[in-house]
Amino acid sequence: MFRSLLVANRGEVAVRIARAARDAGVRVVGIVSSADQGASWTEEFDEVVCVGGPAPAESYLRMSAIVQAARQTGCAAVHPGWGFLAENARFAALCEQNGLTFVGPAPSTMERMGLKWPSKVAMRAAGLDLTPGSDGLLTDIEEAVRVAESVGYPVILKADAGGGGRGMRICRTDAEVREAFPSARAEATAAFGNGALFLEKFVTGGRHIEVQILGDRFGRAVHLFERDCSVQRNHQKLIEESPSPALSPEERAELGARAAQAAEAIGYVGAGTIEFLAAPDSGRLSFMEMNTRLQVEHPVTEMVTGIDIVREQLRIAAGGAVGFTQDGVSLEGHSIECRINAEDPSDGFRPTPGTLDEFSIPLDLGPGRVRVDTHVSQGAEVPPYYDSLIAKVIVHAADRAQAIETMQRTLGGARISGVSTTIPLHLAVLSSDEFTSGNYDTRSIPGWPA
Amino acid sequence: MSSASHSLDLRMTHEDGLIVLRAPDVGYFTAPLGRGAVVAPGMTAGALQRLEGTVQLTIPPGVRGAVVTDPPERVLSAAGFGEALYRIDPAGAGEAAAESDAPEEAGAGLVLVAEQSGRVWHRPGPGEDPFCAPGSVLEDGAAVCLVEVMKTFSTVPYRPVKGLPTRGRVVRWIVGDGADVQKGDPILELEQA
Repeated sequence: MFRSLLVANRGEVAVRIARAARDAGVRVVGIVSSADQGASWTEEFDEVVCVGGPAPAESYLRMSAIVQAARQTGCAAVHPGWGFLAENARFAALCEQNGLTFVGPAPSTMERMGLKWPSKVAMRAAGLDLTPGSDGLLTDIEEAVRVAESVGYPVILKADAGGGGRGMRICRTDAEVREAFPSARAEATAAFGNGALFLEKFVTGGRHIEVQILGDRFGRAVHLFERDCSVQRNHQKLIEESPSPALSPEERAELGARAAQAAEAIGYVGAGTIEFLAAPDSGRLSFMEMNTRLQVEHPVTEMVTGIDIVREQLRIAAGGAVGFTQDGVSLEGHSIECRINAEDPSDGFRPTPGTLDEFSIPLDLGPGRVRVDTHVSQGAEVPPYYDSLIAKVIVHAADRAQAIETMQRTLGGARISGVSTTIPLHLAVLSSDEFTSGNYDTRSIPGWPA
Repeated sequence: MSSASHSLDLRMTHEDGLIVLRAPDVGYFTAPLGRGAVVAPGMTAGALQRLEGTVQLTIPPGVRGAVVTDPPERVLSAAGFGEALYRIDPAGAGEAAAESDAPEEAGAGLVLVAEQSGRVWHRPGPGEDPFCAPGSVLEDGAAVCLVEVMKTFSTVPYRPVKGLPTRGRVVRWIVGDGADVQKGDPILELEQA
């Protein structure tokens, strides 16, 4: 195991990684921006290096400053967390060039999975289904129209290098494809320097189901079952659960096995997540994308499997094998996570930075177990520069109904003031018939007016 | 990741009537000024070895005074962004401040520059005395330092050329012991002896 690890992130995930590293006997070095200097969560680190000013571009995104910080504090490895540089292949390569182990897959794997079409080609070759659409990148408008007609409207044009919805167009007729193609290409070129487009059948609704993977250097990969992340707002996940209420035990076993097989086929090393879209009518699961990092919602998987995913990441990065076989992974009970963001759900989810005058979340209102992953406490500042996530409440109980009940009691007993939070939204979702029945999809937030 | 600049201003804050000069980036701080050194805008006050290369640290506009802190013990001292490197007493500026009105002046003294890129060593060997120190007088042919280029060490002699006097008195080392220099980087500040 590494003697020292640098955590190239801030806030909740930085604290999560620091705790896992310390449990593994690793000395932990943190980085901060000048805005985060002295924040109480930085006490989780053995040493802290300030790498620049408040804006992410001045600090948490400064690759060379972060690598220099790792060098001068004697670190052997860098954990990127999620967000910031976590999926930046150049950062991973810069770490390796400077003799630091990047806790994640190889830069080449990150690069391939970061582009939409190459990742789909790789995963199709590895045996996963794709949403019907173009076979590769589109050469011109005529090809786009031809493909759209053959898969059936509505369709969606997507940019190969896409992100944030740019270069994306939903089309319902030939005329719309002809109109959208040039502008989507121009937008993708402007945003990503890459105007390549492909086309897929547009699926409305459906469920977002993702499989947690762990792969090692010895060519072996195991899955830790799935998470259902269909409660979303503008593609931002709000509530995640494991197992998915939409899968039967047979479907679950098959999906996991296929995902693990695909990860082995691409030689995936580290923790990763393969995201699938379950079609609303058939339930057919098609590959969406692979995230080559730790996910925000990883705790629900930890709760139902009892496996510490960050600890496994460190073990694998240090050259170790996955510490168990597929047969050794079992799923017990049900887990739900609610993301507590400093946002006002009654005012268009406006971010509300500020000071936490009160912050307490009860851990003992049962019937299930409660885990709170957070970097804040009473009196802490929520700075305006970063993500609005302030805490994740994770519950684990014998079944889904008890998990929901535990979450309701816990959030109902939470006392947070000074900033607005998404707790009212979570309570509305948890008590809605759609959510309690398990029959919901990504189209709308169950129990919450659109 | 381009960083073409060879110098960066130190960041300035004020504390208890003193000026605090802080690291403008993450890196190894080296070649510091000593306690009592008098500073003026534009003057070089050490260097920072960053991942992209070494930058000279300069005194920002409006800062004059005397250094009232000791330099770090380590030749290469790890610094974070914003870390305090010097405390400056503005009352200590004295006469030197008056005569160094032009921002360029402090950096435009007599300097001996590196003839080749490499690593500079102040001493002939570990544990030995340095070839020269502030106050030493150098004449033609006197050893100034060692420069290590690709594991080969050679002695750098003093030569009264390029505007340097026949006899020069060492004012200070500009680069630390063991620091990397590029061809043309200043190594030593001198005055007429």
